[in-house]
Amino acid sequence: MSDSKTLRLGRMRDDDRPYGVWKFLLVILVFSAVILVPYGWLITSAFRDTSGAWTLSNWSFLVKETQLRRGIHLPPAIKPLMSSFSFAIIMAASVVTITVPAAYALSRTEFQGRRLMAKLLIVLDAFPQVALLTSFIMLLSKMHLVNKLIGVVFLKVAMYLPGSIWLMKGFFDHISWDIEWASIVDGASRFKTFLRIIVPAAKPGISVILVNSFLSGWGEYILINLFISGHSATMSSFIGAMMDGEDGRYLVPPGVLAAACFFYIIPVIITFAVSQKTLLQVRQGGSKQ
Amino acid sequence: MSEPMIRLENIGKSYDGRTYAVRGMDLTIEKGDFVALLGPSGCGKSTTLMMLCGLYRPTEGSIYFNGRYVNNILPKDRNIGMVFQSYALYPNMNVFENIAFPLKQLKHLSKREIRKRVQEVANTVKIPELLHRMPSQLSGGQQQRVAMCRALVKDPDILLLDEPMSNLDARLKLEIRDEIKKLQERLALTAIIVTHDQEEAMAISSHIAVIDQGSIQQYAAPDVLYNRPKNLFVASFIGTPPMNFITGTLEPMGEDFVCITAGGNITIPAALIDCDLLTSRSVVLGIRPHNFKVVQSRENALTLSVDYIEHLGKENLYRCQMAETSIRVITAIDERYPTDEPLSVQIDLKMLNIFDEGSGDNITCDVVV
Amino acid sequence: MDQSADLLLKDRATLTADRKAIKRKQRFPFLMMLPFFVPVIVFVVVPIILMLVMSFTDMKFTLKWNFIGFDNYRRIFGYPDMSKILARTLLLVVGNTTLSVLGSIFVVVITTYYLDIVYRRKNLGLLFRIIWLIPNLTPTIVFMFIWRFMFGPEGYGMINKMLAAIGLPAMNWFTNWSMQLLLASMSLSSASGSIILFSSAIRQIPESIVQSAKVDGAGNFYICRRIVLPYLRWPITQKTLWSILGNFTAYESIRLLTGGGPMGSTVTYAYYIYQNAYQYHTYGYGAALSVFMVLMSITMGLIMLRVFQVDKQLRVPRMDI
Repeated sequence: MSDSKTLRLGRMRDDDRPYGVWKFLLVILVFSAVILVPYGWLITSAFRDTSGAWTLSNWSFLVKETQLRRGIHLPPAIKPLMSSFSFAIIMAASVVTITVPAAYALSRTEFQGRRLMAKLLIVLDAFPQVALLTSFIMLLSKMHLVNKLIGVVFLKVAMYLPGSIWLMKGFFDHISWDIEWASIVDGASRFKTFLRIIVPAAKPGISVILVNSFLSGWGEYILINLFISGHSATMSSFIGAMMDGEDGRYLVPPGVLAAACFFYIIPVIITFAVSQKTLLQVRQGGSKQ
Repeated sequence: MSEPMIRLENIGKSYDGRTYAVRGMDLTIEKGDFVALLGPSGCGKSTTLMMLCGLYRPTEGSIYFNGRYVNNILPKDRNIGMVFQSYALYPNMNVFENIAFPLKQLKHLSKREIRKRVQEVANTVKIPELLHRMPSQLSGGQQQRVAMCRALVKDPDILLLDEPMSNLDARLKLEIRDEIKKLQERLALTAIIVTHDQEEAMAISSHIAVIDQGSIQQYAAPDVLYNRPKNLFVASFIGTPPMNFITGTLEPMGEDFVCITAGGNITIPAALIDCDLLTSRSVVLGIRPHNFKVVQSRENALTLSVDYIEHLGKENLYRCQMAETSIRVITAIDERYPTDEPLSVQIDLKMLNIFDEGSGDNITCDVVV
Repeated sequence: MDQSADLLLKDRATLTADRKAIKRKQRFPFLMMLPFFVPVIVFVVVPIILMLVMSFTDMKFTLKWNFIGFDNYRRIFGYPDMSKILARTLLLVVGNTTLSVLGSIFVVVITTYYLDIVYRRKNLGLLFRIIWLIPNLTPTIVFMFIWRFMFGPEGYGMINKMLAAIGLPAMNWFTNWSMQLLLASMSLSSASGSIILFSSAIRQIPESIVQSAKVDGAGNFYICRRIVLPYLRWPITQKTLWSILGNFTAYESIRLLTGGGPMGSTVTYAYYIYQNAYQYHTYGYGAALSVFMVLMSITMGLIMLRVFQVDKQLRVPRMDI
């Protein structure tokens, strides 16, 4: 008994972290297999042909047309890639420019109906998108926005705003009043204070909203599929077109689909890697208790 | 008739419409005064300052600057400078931009003019070498100076200081306190400081307003506050170690009064008491620990039992007990008394304050005894 | 009396100036929120009204409408499969909520409590938390493709290939197991969405509490059960409410994984609305179905208002300008 104790003490001198982590490591590793294996399968499949040999031919969809069935081809992925980017960027930009001032007003000013407004945001945030689909069809056609990506952006932004305003409000709540007071006493208007002092102080929160809404726009499939006809409006509908066989089979070899999916999530990985620190840290700070 | 620099008339502030943070406050501040708003936390002193700078609008009453009604005037048009407890430096701007920020809000100044004035004020406060640093790179004392610069750069008439030294260590506090005082005198500013530190208030200000529960308890010069506190609250709040309070009953004895206490009877000349203010015979005698004299006889003296002695270096503090009341007596360093015998002390009548127990008001008359 | 004396002191000009200052204070927040009101009114409020109106019409593909009274509502109550749809929806809601909340508690306790706090392997904890974030970050179409790909027919489905490798016959996953697949995939994605929330709640536990419990001789598991889990009560409530709502209204995942099939065996209430809007083009009927969903979500919203105490989360601005 004393032997094992001295042995442990000897270990602890080098590394005073407790011993025996491997049990938990093993458990979480096995549990994580439900994520690791499928994603690993996706990535390796992107580089293998139907017989299982390694190849890059799956990636030809980037530069060449892809045949779906007789007479129907997908154009090279460049155009849908670009429209996916612009869709996500317009979405993120409009969400941020609308969210930030509104959340500031809700967090740091008093006005008639403030409580009502806060409650309305929660109820709107809980509002189901699917319930409005029928009205959207009618609305977009009356506004002559059918088949235009910008119409879908409007819908998505409007549905996205209540939640993002509530999240952003939480960030504004945590900014100290001193700098706002100082700025007002120094002679700046409330708006100028917001712009020059509060927005810089809320940068981490704003980047969370920016990244989240960008990713949400980037990954949007169903609304685009519903309101935009054609196969290559964005990357998601490009992939959707490859998947939609009548009998549940894919229209292209699965390796090509895997490659397209992998390609589609590369920007997500990059965005997450770049913003990981702020995203993880700030979400902790912003979480309401 | 010349108007005072600042006049508060019956000021009240309520945040929720029911309870008042400040109520019925009247205050007059002359040009060049250095006024301290002193009180325990939550007493309404910061709220008062916030109303003076215009960030809060009074719920009732009026504020006048130089005779001008300013309730509805924005802070920027009040010609004030303010230093906050946390200094509130803008973290995204360097020191120069921080100091220049108030000037940039005035539309008519050229870039050169701004640069010149920032340099000037930085020289005055002795931080010309810090102008290109970011606030996060500064020590507490340096941040404090930058905040002073930003408050002074507009050449304000009034300087408002909200606990400006509470985040500094003790030595730096003394240094900064001196500098603020000197600057205020040199620039002939009217200054108002909010603080909970009575020593700081005593040292720096020409007048102190002691605030409790949203209203001013006493507004006077520091020495008056110390020697003639207006009521029991002020008496107990001002001074360390605090004033001793001894309850007693007044009995007329010929021309004068005798005050019967648990530790003995004290003769008090009638001229010392403003009898109109008496509501009953119960009074509270307020005596500072310094104002006792240890005597041999028990005649006209209080008898105390000594608990223990604290040696303070320059004097001795006797912790005593008189019935249920604890009494502190300070004696010179060379006076030593045994702890196992009762101690007889006389009261210095010149320094005695007598309070009516019912109202808590000071009923002492200022006459030469 | 004081009041009237005060009023006399102020002349009319000061009174107007006072009033102006108050107005100025009211106008600013509305200007700041104006850009929010416009899109929300046009794309949320107007559609809600449209939905209500449409639910009383027989609007179809042509977008022409005749008012038909309560016929659509009568049709809903007369629909023979409705009870099956509702039971299935309930199964999905309860199943997914339970699985996802339990799953993410498990992951977070291991990564954040055991790896980070007990064993002080912060990098490992972070690594596994990031792995568990992946499903939430992946666009739904890719996530669901991966599942179809895994459980696809023998030609390319990984699971079936593995079964073949050990000599077992291939399974028709999407014919016989579609509801189970739906439950598994949706709860994985939803569990992934609560990792950050739960893990930051655990981090807010003051270290001194854990330390003093250890000094008192409490084991790691005991601390986890009696100290860590209680800290998760609030986030779990939050997540559960959102998960109930989210699963009730989910249709994109169903559309992408099973398409409601086989033979309508994975059609939920939300997916039924989607089908009426986009496959059968019976907009009036779809709108009537939507009305019930909206009522349900508003009820959930009101419950959330209660639980989250929205009033208390609004702080009084510390400034009168």
